[in-house]
Amino acid sequence: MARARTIDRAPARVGTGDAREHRVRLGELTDSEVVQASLDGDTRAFGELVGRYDQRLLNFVYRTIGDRERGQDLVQETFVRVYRHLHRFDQSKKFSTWIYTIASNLAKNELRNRSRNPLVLFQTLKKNWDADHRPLEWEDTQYKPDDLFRKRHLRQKVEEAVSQLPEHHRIVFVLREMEGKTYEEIADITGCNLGTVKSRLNRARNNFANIIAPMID
Amino acid sequence: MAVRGVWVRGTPLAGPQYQAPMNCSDFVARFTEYLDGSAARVELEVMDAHLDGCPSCRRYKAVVEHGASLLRSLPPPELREDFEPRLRHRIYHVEDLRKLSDHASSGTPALSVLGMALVLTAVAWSPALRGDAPVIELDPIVVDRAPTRAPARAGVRPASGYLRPASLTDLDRGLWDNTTILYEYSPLYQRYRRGKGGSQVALGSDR
Repeated sequence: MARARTIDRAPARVGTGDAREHRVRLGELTDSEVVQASLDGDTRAFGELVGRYDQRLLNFVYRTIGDRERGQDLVQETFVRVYRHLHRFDQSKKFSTWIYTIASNLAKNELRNRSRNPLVLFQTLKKNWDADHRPLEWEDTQYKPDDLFRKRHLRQKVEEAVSQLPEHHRIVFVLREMEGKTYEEIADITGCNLGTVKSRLNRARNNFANIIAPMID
Repeated sequence: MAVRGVWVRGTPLAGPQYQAPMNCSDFVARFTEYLDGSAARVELEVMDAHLDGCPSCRRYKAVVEHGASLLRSLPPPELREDFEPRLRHRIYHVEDLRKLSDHASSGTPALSVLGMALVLTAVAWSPALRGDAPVIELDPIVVDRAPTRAPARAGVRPASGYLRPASLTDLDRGLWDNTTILYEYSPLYQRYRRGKGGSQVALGSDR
Protein backbone atom coordinates (compact mmCIF):
# COMPACT_ATOMS: atom_id res chain seq x y z
CA MET A 1 0.00 0.00 0.00
CA ALA A 2 1.28 3.44 -0.94
CA ARG A 3 2.44 5.57 1.89
CA ALA A 4 0.42 8.70 2.62
CA ARG A 5 1.91 11.84 1.12
CA THR A 6 0.50 15.30 1.41
CA ILE A 7 1.43 18.76 0.22
CA ASP A 8 3.08 20.80 2.88
CA ARG A 9 4.04 24.22 1.69
CA ALA A 10 3.40 26.24 4.81
CA PRO A 11 5.35 29.50 4.86
CA ALA A 12 8.67 29.25 6.64
CA ARG A 13 7.78 31.88 9.23
CA VAL A 14 5.05 29.72 10.77
CA GLY A 15 7.15 26.57 10.72
CA THR A 16 9.43 25.40 13.47
CA GLY A 17 13.18 25.68 13.11
CA ASP A 18 13.39 22.01 12.16
CA ALA A 19 10.75 22.44 9.47
CA ARG A 20 12.62 25.39 8.03
CA GLU A 21 15.86 23.48 7.96
CA HIS A 22 14.12 20.55 6.37
CA ARG A 23 12.71 22.79 3.67
CA VAL A 24 16.10 24.30 3.00
CA ARG A 25 17.58 20.81 2.72
CA LEU A 26 14.86 19.83 0.25
CA GLY A 27 15.62 22.94 -1.77
CA GLU A 28 19.20 21.78 -2.21
CA LEU A 29 18.24 18.38 -3.60
CA THR A 30 17.88 17.51 -7.27
CA ASP A 31 14.46 16.75 -8.68
CA SER A 32 15.12 13.01 -8.61
CA GLU A 33 16.15 13.15 -4.98
CA VAL A 34 13.04 15.12 -4.06
CA VAL A 35 10.91 12.58 -5.92
CA GLN A 36 12.58 9.78 -3.98
CA ALA A 37 12.00 11.66 -0.72
CA SER A 38 8.33 12.00 -1.57
CA LEU A 39 8.08 8.32 -2.37
CA ASP A 40 9.78 7.55 0.94
CA GLY A 41 6.97 9.37 2.74
CA ASP A 42 8.44 12.84 3.21
CA THR A 43 5.33 14.98 3.48
CA ARG A 44 7.09 18.18 2.41
CA ALA A 45 8.81 16.76 -0.65
CA PHE A 46 5.83 16.97 -2.98
CA GLY A 47 5.29 20.59 -1.93
CA GLU A 48 8.87 21.26 -2.94
CA LEU A 49 8.15 19.85 -6.40
CA VAL A 50 5.03 21.99 -6.67
CA GLY A 51 7.04 25.07 -5.68
CA ARG A 52 9.65 24.34 -8.33
CA TYR A 53 7.27 23.83 -11.22
CA ASP A 54 3.96 25.61 -10.64
CA GLN A 55 4.99 28.94 -12.16
CA ARG A 56 6.95 27.42 -15.04
CA LEU A 57 4.16 25.04 -15.96
CA LEU A 58 1.57 27.80 -15.79
CA ASN A 59 3.68 29.94 -18.11
CA PHE A 60 4.06 27.07 -20.57
CA VAL A 61 0.40 26.00 -20.48
CA TYR A 62 -0.86 29.57 -20.64
CA ARG A 63 1.30 30.40 -23.67
CA THR A 64 0.15 27.20 -25.31
CA ILE A 65 -3.60 27.48 -24.77
CA GLY A 66 -3.89 31.26 -24.33
CA ASP A 67 -6.25 31.13 -21.35
CA ARG A 68 -4.92 31.97 -17.90
CA GLU A 69 -7.81 30.58 -15.85
CA ARG A 70 -7.98 27.31 -17.70
CA GLY A 71 -4.20 27.14 -17.56
CA GLN A 72 -4.36 27.10 -13.75
CA ASP A 73 -6.82 24.22 -13.84
CA LEU A 74 -4.58 22.27 -16.17
CA VAL A 75 -1.53 22.88 -14.02
CA GLN A 76 -3.49 21.60 -11.03
CA GLU A 77 -4.48 18.55 -12.98
CA THR A 78 -0.83 18.03 -13.93
CA PHE A 79 0.22 17.99 -10.29
CA VAL A 80 -2.61 15.66 -9.33
CA ARG A 81 -1.53 13.21 -12.02
CA VAL A 82 2.08 13.49 -10.99
CA TYR A 83 1.08 12.77 -7.40
CA ARG A 84 -1.06 9.84 -8.38
CA HIS A 85 1.56 8.21 -10.63
CA LEU A 86 4.79 9.27 -8.98
CA HIS A 87 5.59 5.67 -8.06
CA ARG A 88 5.57 4.85 -11.81
CA PHE A 89 8.05 7.57 -12.73
CA ASP A 90 11.23 6.14 -14.21
CA GLN A 91 13.90 7.85 -12.14
CA SER A 92 16.54 7.31 -14.79
CA LYS A 93 14.72 10.01 -16.81
CA LYS A 94 14.48 13.73 -16.11
CA PHE A 95 11.58 14.67 -13.89
CA SER A 96 11.13 18.00 -15.67
CA THR A 97 10.65 16.20 -19.00
CA TRP A 98 8.06 13.93 -17.45
CA ILE A 99 6.03 16.71 -15.85
CA TYR A 100 6.21 18.85 -19.01
CA THR A 101 5.01 15.87 -21.02
CA ILE A 102 1.94 15.53 -18.81
CA ALA A 103 1.23 19.27 -19.00
CA SER A 104 1.78 19.29 -22.76
CA ASN A 105 -0.65 16.40 -23.27
CA LEU A 106 -3.27 18.15 -21.16
CA ALA A 107 -2.78 21.36 -23.12
CA LYS A 108 -3.12 19.49 -26.42
CA ASN A 109 -6.33 17.84 -25.21
CA GLU A 110 -7.63 21.22 -24.16
CA LEU A 111 -6.97 22.69 -27.61
CA ARG A 112 -8.58 19.68 -29.26
CA ASN A 113 -11.68 19.97 -27.06
CA ARG A 114 -11.84 23.68 -27.64
CA SER A 115 -11.88 23.23 -31.39
CA ARG A 116 -14.99 21.09 -30.91
CA ASN A 117 -16.66 23.50 -28.50
CA PRO A 118 -16.84 27.09 -29.81
CA LEU A 119 -18.15 28.39 -26.46
CA VAL A 120 -14.64 28.41 -25.08
CA LEU A 121 -13.76 31.23 -27.47
CA PHE A 122 -15.42 33.57 -25.01
CA GLN A 123 -12.69 32.87 -22.48
CA THR A 124 -10.06 33.93 -24.97
CA LEU A 125 -11.91 37.19 -25.52
CA LYS A 126 -12.13 37.73 -21.78
CA LYS A 127 -8.37 37.25 -21.47
CA ASN A 128 -7.74 40.06 -23.95
CA TRP A 129 -10.22 42.24 -22.10
CA ASP A 130 -8.19 41.78 -18.92
CA ALA A 131 -5.02 42.84 -20.69
CA ASP A 132 -6.64 45.97 -22.11
CA HIS A 133 -8.03 47.09 -18.77
CA ARG A 134 -4.92 46.51 -16.73
CA PRO A 135 -3.75 49.76 -15.14
CA LEU A 136 -0.68 51.31 -16.67
CA GLU A 137 2.47 50.42 -14.74
CA TRP A 138 5.31 52.89 -14.67
CA GLU A 139 8.12 50.40 -14.85
CA ASP A 140 10.94 52.79 -15.54
CA THR A 141 10.83 56.51 -14.78
CA GLN A 142 13.34 57.25 -17.53
CA TYR A 143 10.94 55.94 -20.15
CA LYS A 144 8.61 58.32 -21.84
CA PRO A 145 4.92 57.33 -22.01
CA ASP A 146 5.34 56.82 -25.74
CA ASP A 147 8.10 54.30 -25.11
CA LEU A 148 6.01 52.55 -22.50
CA PHE A 149 3.06 52.39 -24.81
CA ARG A 150 5.21 51.12 -27.62
CA LYS A 151 6.82 48.52 -25.40
CA ARG A 152 3.48 47.30 -24.16
CA HIS A 153 2.09 47.28 -27.66
CA LEU A 154 5.05 45.22 -28.84
CA ARG A 155 4.68 42.73 -26.03
CA GLN A 156 1.01 42.37 -26.80
CA LYS A 157 1.76 41.79 -30.46
CA VAL A 158 4.42 39.25 -29.57
CA GLU A 159 1.89 37.40 -27.40
CA GLU A 160 -0.59 37.49 -30.22
CA ALA A 161 2.01 36.25 -32.67
CA VAL A 162 2.62 33.21 -30.47
CA SER A 163 -1.09 32.51 -30.20
CA GLN A 164 -1.41 32.68 -33.99
CA LEU A 165 1.10 29.90 -34.55
CA PRO A 166 -0.31 26.47 -35.42
CA GLU A 167 -0.73 24.31 -32.33
CA HIS A 168 2.12 21.84 -32.92
CA HIS A 169 4.49 24.67 -33.88
CA ARG A 170 3.47 26.72 -30.87
CA ILE A 171 4.24 24.01 -28.31
CA VAL A 172 7.71 23.47 -29.75
CA PHE A 173 8.34 27.20 -30.02
CA VAL A 174 7.30 27.94 -26.43
CA LEU A 175 9.32 25.02 -25.07
CA ARG A 176 12.42 26.26 -26.88
CA GLU A 177 12.15 30.04 -26.62
CA MET A 178 10.50 30.43 -23.22
CA GLU A 179 11.42 27.29 -21.35
CA GLY A 180 14.85 26.86 -22.87
CA LYS A 181 14.43 23.13 -23.49
CA THR A 182 16.92 21.27 -25.67
CA TYR A 183 15.86 19.58 -28.90
CA GLU A 184 16.09 16.19 -27.22
CA GLU A 185 13.87 17.29 -24.33
CA ILE A 186 11.33 18.77 -26.72
CA ALA A 187 11.35 15.53 -28.70
CA ASP A 188 10.66 13.57 -25.50
CA ILE A 189 7.92 15.95 -24.35
CA THR A 190 6.10 16.12 -27.65
CA GLY A 191 6.75 12.53 -28.69
CA CYS A 192 8.32 13.59 -32.01
CA ASN A 193 11.71 12.75 -33.43
CA LEU A 194 14.55 15.28 -33.57
CA GLY A 195 14.07 16.06 -37.24
CA THR A 196 10.42 16.93 -36.70
CA VAL A 197 11.31 19.13 -33.76
CA LYS A 198 13.88 21.04 -35.80
CA SER A 199 11.60 21.54 -38.77
CA ARG A 200 8.66 22.61 -36.59
CA LEU A 201 10.83 25.01 -34.66
CA ASN A 202 12.23 26.47 -37.86
CA ARG A 203 8.77 26.99 -39.31
CA ALA A 204 7.49 28.44 -36.04
CA ARG A 205 10.37 30.93 -35.95
CA ASN A 206 9.77 31.83 -39.55
CA ASN A 207 6.04 32.44 -38.96
CA PHE A 208 6.77 34.36 -35.79
CA ALA A 209 9.27 36.59 -37.60
CA ASN A 210 6.80 37.27 -40.40
CA ILE A 211 4.09 38.34 -37.93
CA ILE A 212 6.21 40.64 -35.79
CA ALA A 213 8.58 41.99 -38.46
CA PRO A 214 6.38 45.00 -39.33
CA MET A 215 6.45 46.13 -35.69
CA ILE A 216 10.18 45.82 -35.15
CA ASP A 217 12.50 48.50 -36.48
CA MET B 1 20.33 36.38 -52.49
CA ALA B 2 23.49 34.43 -53.10
CA VAL B 3 26.72 35.76 -51.68
CA ARG B 4 30.29 34.72 -51.93
CA GLY B 5 31.49 31.28 -50.95
CA VAL B 6 33.84 30.61 -48.10
CA TRP B 7 37.08 28.77 -47.54
CA VAL B 8 36.93 26.53 -44.50
CA ARG B 9 39.66 24.62 -42.75
CA GLY B 10 39.64 21.05 -43.92
CA THR B 11 41.37 17.98 -42.62
CA PRO B 12 45.19 17.85 -42.48
CA LEU B 13 45.14 15.67 -45.56
CA ALA B 14 42.61 17.56 -47.61
CA GLY B 15 43.56 21.08 -46.67
CA PRO B 16 41.25 24.12 -46.90
CA GLN B 17 38.07 23.56 -48.84
CA TYR B 18 35.89 25.98 -50.66
CA GLN B 19 32.21 25.90 -49.70
CA ALA B 20 29.74 27.04 -52.28
CA PRO B 21 27.80 30.21 -51.46
CA MET B 22 24.47 29.87 -49.73
CA ASN B 23 21.25 31.49 -50.88
CA CYS B 24 18.62 33.05 -48.60
CA SER B 25 16.13 30.20 -48.67
CA ASP B 26 18.90 27.77 -47.63
CA PHE B 27 19.83 30.14 -44.84
CA VAL B 28 16.24 30.38 -43.56
CA ALA B 29 15.79 26.62 -43.84
CA ARG B 30 18.81 26.03 -41.60
CA PHE B 31 18.38 29.07 -39.42
CA THR B 32 17.19 27.20 -36.32
CA GLU B 33 20.32 25.09 -36.15
CA TYR B 34 22.44 28.16 -36.77
CA LEU B 35 20.71 30.12 -34.00
CA ASP B 36 20.92 27.30 -31.50
CA GLY B 37 24.49 26.46 -32.46
CA SER B 38 23.69 22.87 -33.31
CA ALA B 39 24.88 23.02 -36.91
CA ALA B 40 28.26 21.68 -37.97
CA ARG B 41 31.18 24.07 -37.79
CA VAL B 42 31.60 24.19 -41.56
CA GLU B 43 27.97 25.02 -42.03
CA LEU B 44 28.12 27.73 -39.39
CA GLU B 45 30.99 29.38 -41.21
CA VAL B 46 29.12 29.31 -44.49
CA MET B 47 26.05 30.84 -42.87
CA ASP B 48 28.16 33.50 -41.18
CA ALA B 49 29.59 34.36 -44.55
CA HIS B 50 26.12 34.59 -45.99
CA LEU B 51 25.00 36.87 -43.19
CA ASP B 52 27.93 39.21 -43.78
CA GLY B 53 26.81 39.90 -47.29
CA CYS B 54 23.02 39.64 -46.99
CA PRO B 55 21.14 42.50 -45.28
CA SER B 56 17.73 40.77 -45.55
CA CYS B 57 18.96 37.69 -43.68
CA ARG B 58 20.61 39.92 -41.09
CA ARG B 59 17.26 41.61 -40.65
CA TYR B 60 15.56 38.23 -40.37
CA LYS B 61 17.98 37.13 -37.66
CA ALA B 62 17.56 40.41 -35.78
CA VAL B 63 13.76 40.12 -35.86
CA VAL B 64 13.74 36.57 -34.54
CA GLU B 65 16.23 37.38 -31.78
CA HIS B 66 14.45 40.55 -30.73
CA GLY B 67 11.06 38.85 -30.79
CA ALA B 68 12.34 35.99 -28.68
CA SER B 69 13.85 38.36 -26.15
CA LEU B 70 10.54 40.26 -25.97
CA LEU B 71 8.77 36.98 -25.44
CA ARG B 72 11.06 36.06 -22.57
CA SER B 73 10.55 39.47 -21.00
CA LEU B 74 6.78 39.03 -20.81
CA PRO B 75 5.56 39.01 -17.21
CA PRO B 76 4.70 35.46 -16.17
CA PRO B 77 1.04 34.80 -15.39
CA GLU B 78 0.37 34.88 -11.68
CA LEU B 79 -1.00 31.95 -9.80
CA ARG B 80 -4.39 32.47 -8.21
CA GLU B 81 -4.44 32.81 -4.45
CA ASP B 82 -6.51 29.68 -4.09
CA PHE B 83 -4.19 27.61 -6.27
CA GLU B 84 -2.39 25.94 -3.40
CA PRO B 85 -5.41 25.30 -1.12
CA ARG B 86 -7.31 23.82 -4.04
CA LEU B 87 -4.41 21.61 -4.99
CA ARG B 88 -3.99 20.47 -1.40
CA HIS B 89 -7.70 19.66 -1.28
CA ARG B 90 -7.51 17.65 -4.48
CA ILE B 91 -4.42 15.77 -3.32
CA TYR B 92 -6.20 14.98 -0.08
CA HIS B 93 -9.03 13.40 -2.04
CA VAL B 94 -6.60 11.43 -4.19
CA GLU B 95 -5.12 10.00 -1.01
CA ASP B 96 -8.58 9.30 0.33
CA LEU B 97 -9.66 7.48 -2.81
CA ARG B 98 -6.44 5.52 -2.85
CA LYS B 99 -7.03 4.29 0.69
CA LEU B 100 -10.59 3.36 -0.20
CA SER B 101 -9.53 1.47 -3.30
CA ASP B 102 -6.77 -0.32 -1.38
CA HIS B 103 -9.31 -1.31 1.21
CA ALA B 104 -11.83 -2.44 -1.40
CA SER B 105 -9.32 -4.33 -3.49
CA SER B 106 -8.07 -6.30 -0.47
CA GLY B 107 -11.32 -8.31 -0.40
CA THR B 108 -11.62 -7.89 3.37
CA PRO B 109 -15.18 -6.46 3.39
CA ALA B 110 -16.66 -9.26 1.31
CA LEU B 111 -15.01 -11.93 3.41
CA SER B 112 -15.99 -10.31 6.69
CA VAL B 113 -19.64 -9.96 5.59
CA LEU B 114 -19.71 -13.59 4.50
CA GLY B 115 -18.17 -14.69 7.77
CA MET B 116 -20.65 -12.73 9.84
CA ALA B 117 -23.54 -14.20 7.85
CA LEU B 118 -22.26 -17.72 8.49
CA VAL B 119 -21.86 -17.08 12.21
CA LEU B 120 -25.37 -15.62 12.54
CA THR B 121 -26.86 -18.55 10.63
CA ALA B 122 -25.07 -21.02 12.83
CA VAL B 123 -26.27 -19.25 15.99
CA ALA B 124 -29.88 -19.17 14.76
CA TRP B 125 -29.92 -22.84 13.85
CA SER B 126 -27.85 -24.17 16.70
CA PRO B 127 -30.84 -25.25 18.98
CA ALA B 128 -32.41 -27.22 16.14
CA LEU B 129 -29.07 -28.76 15.20
CA ARG B 130 -28.42 -29.76 18.80
CA GLY B 131 -31.93 -31.21 19.11
CA ASP B 132 -32.84 -29.24 22.24
CA ALA B 133 -35.32 -26.83 20.67
CA PRO B 134 -37.47 -25.19 23.39
CA VAL B 135 -40.99 -26.65 23.77
CA ILE B 136 -43.85 -24.30 24.68
CA GLU B 137 -46.50 -25.97 26.72
CA LEU B 138 -50.07 -24.54 26.64
CA ASP B 139 -53.15 -25.45 28.70
CA PRO B 140 -55.36 -28.03 26.95
CA ILE B 141 -58.70 -26.79 25.47
CA VAL B 142 -61.63 -28.84 26.79
CA VAL B 143 -64.74 -29.16 24.51
CA ASP B 144 -67.95 -30.41 26.19
CA ARG B 145 -70.16 -30.69 23.06
CA ALA B 146 -69.86 -30.81 19.30
CA PRO B 147 -70.60 -27.53 17.38
CA THR B 148 -74.19 -27.45 15.99
CA ARG B 149 -74.96 -26.42 12.43
CA ALA B 150 -78.24 -26.34 10.56
CA PRO B 151 -78.51 -28.82 7.71
CA ALA B 152 -77.94 -27.34 4.31
CA ARG B 153 -81.14 -26.79 2.32
CA ALA B 154 -81.59 -26.56 -1.36
CA GLY B 155 -81.91 -22.97 -2.74
CA VAL B 156 -80.52 -21.31 0.35
CA ARG B 157 -76.85 -21.41 0.17
CA PRO B 158 -75.02 -18.32 1.26
CA ALA B 159 -71.79 -17.53 -0.41
CA SER B 160 -68.84 -18.94 1.35
CA GLY B 161 -67.48 -15.43 1.86
CA TYR B 162 -70.45 -14.57 4.03
CA LEU B 163 -70.05 -17.57 6.26
CA ARG B 164 -67.89 -16.00 8.88
CA PRO B 165 -67.45 -17.60 12.28
CA ALA B 166 -69.72 -14.94 13.82
CA SER B 167 -72.68 -15.89 11.56
CA LEU B 168 -72.70 -19.48 12.79
CA THR B 169 -74.76 -18.34 15.76
CA ASP B 170 -77.39 -16.95 13.35
CA LEU B 171 -77.57 -20.32 11.71
CA ASP B 172 -77.98 -21.84 15.07
CA ARG B 173 -80.92 -19.59 15.79
CA GLY B 174 -82.59 -20.75 12.55
CA LEU B 175 -82.56 -17.37 10.86
CA TRP B 176 -82.04 -18.91 7.47
CA ASP B 177 -85.01 -21.20 8.01
CA ASN B 178 -87.46 -18.32 7.76
CA THR B 179 -88.15 -18.27 4.02
CA THR B 180 -90.56 -15.32 4.25
CA ILE B 181 -87.87 -12.98 5.51
CA LEU B 182 -85.49 -14.17 2.88
CA TYR B 183 -88.08 -13.64 0.12
CA GLU B 184 -89.28 -10.18 1.25
CA TYR B 185 -85.80 -8.76 1.31
CA SER B 186 -84.75 -10.22 -2.02
CA PRO B 187 -84.76 -8.15 -5.29
CA LEU B 188 -87.03 -10.78 -6.83
CA TYR B 189 -89.75 -10.04 -4.28
CA GLN B 190 -89.50 -6.30 -4.91
CA ARG B 191 -90.12 -6.83 -8.61
CA TYR B 192 -93.09 -9.09 -8.14
CA ARG B 193 -94.72 -6.72 -5.66
CA ARG B 194 -94.45 -3.82 -8.13
CA GLY B 195 -96.03 -6.00 -10.85
CA LYS B 196 -99.06 -6.89 -8.67
CA GLY B 197 -99.97 -3.22 -8.20
CA GLY B 198 -100.45 -2.76 -11.99
CA SER B 199 -97.50 -0.46 -12.27
CA GLN B 200 -95.47 -2.77 -14.42
CA VAL B 201 -94.21 -0.73 -17.32
CA ALA B 202 -91.80 -1.16 -20.08
CA LEU B 203 -88.14 -0.63 -19.30
CA GLY B 204 -87.09 2.96 -19.46
CA SER B 205 -90.61 4.44 -19.43
CA ASP B 206 -91.34 4.53 -15.67
CA ARG B 207 -89.91 8.01 -15.17
